[in-house]
Amino acid sequence: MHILVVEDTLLARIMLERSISKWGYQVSSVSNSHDALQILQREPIQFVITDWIMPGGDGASLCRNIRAMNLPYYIYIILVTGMDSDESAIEGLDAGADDFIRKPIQLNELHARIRAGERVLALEKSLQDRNIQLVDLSNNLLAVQDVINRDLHTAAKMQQQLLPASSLNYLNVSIDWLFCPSTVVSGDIFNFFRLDETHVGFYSLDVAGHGVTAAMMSFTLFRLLTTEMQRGSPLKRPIDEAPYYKIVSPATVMEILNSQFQTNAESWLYFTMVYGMVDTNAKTIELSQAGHPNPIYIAQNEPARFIGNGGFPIGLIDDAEYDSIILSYCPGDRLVLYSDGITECADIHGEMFGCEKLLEFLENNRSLSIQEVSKALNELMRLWRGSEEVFEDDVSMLIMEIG
Amino acid sequence: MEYNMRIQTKIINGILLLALEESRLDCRLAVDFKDKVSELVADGSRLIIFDMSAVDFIDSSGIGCLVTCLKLLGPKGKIAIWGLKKPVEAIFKLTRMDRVFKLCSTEEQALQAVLN
Repeated sequence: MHILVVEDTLLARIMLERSISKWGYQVSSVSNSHDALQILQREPIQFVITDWIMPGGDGASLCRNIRAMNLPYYIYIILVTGMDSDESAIEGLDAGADDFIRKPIQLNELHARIRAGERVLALEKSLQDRNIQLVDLSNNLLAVQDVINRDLHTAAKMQQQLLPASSLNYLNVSIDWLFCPSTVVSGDIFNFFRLDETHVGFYSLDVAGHGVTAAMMSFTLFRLLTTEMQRGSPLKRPIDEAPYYKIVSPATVMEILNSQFQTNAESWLYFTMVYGMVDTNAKTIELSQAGHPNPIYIAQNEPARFIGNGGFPIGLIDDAEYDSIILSYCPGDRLVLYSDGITECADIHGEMFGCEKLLEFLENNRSLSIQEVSKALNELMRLWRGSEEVFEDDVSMLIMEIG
Repeated sequence: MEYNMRIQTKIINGILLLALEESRLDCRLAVDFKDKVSELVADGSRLIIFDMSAVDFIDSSGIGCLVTCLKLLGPKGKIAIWGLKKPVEAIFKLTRMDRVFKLCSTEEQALQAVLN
């Protein structure tokens, strides 16, 4: 360690220099504060022993000047004060000195104080090293986080692209929807597709939990719930006679999914769902409900109402049985499927939106087009939640109108 | 985020009585809930009674927790639940959990239900 001695008396300076270098330190010495500041500017010296009274600036002002230099490392300062000079000791410590020693200097005491200062500097150095490591670490983490965020946003874009186009129309059945993930990606998903020349299929599902795990499960389910039989779709089954396929009833679809996605110790992912289909020949809607909120049916000339009696979530209960509901429809009837992210959306006081409010909203806005309805619901939900707050759970709604 | 759930435990004649001291049983609690119950079940209890009178809200993750408990208990296990508030009971009905668990209105009834 390099120590700078600042002492105007030649004899005292030489005495200090000798002892300090005998103790194994490198020593430089100057006779006034001006020279001291110059050498400290030039050389990375971290230890200063300075006299209290010197011509051209006292020890206290030297302390203040050293502290004002704002060096990237700490300089430890021992102040040498006169005998019985308590006030100068206090003034010196206030000015930025770390320690003081009284004249006449006891050499073994000075040595001990230098060792104490060394310990403080070593501690300071290790803290600084630790700090640098932490900054590095946090930079690395930020970089990793950045990559994850970018991946998530890509995944979110992929998820958005999976969704059916809004204003889609198959066999005179048209849809619109609302989709607001609570995190970047969502455990909610829904779809609308043609099963054959006379059937349109639709579903809304919500994987328990949210975030990445739930979203990956919802991707998997989306890929499975297609009309492509070669992918092992549970919705259509190949048979030997024309037309060489059979459309699987919604309740059976639920039973197939339930046996395929049973939870176990390793995989604890289950979901709630409504799956149904419109038969344009028979003019019926057949649907099955698996723990998903009750769909809302808005028939022409009839008040909006809930349909369904509940059902087991998919994946929780072995060999669970599911029911199908069959409704006859008239042109102009509407069906609304939604996830509990809507009904359980809490306002700032913690009050939940609730299914009754949703029913009332749909009833009051039955004269709007389905596009206007989903837009108005989006505004209503955001207003309910409070404009700045993100949704706590994924919010999704699918509205269908039969032409 | 994981969360440390508050639960009060007592054992009467080998029946585990668990009082949930949480107003919301949702996915925040799922992990901790499962850990706590598996610990308790490891001690050998196969009959559980949940006091849910403090719970105002349950979501599908909360339902999942309760079903896990049932699965942890194995074929000899029984769970009775009492003190369901209206909105919680509605979720039990929606998910048909009223057919999986014995729902009771008092602790007395729940004790009877698991013993029968």
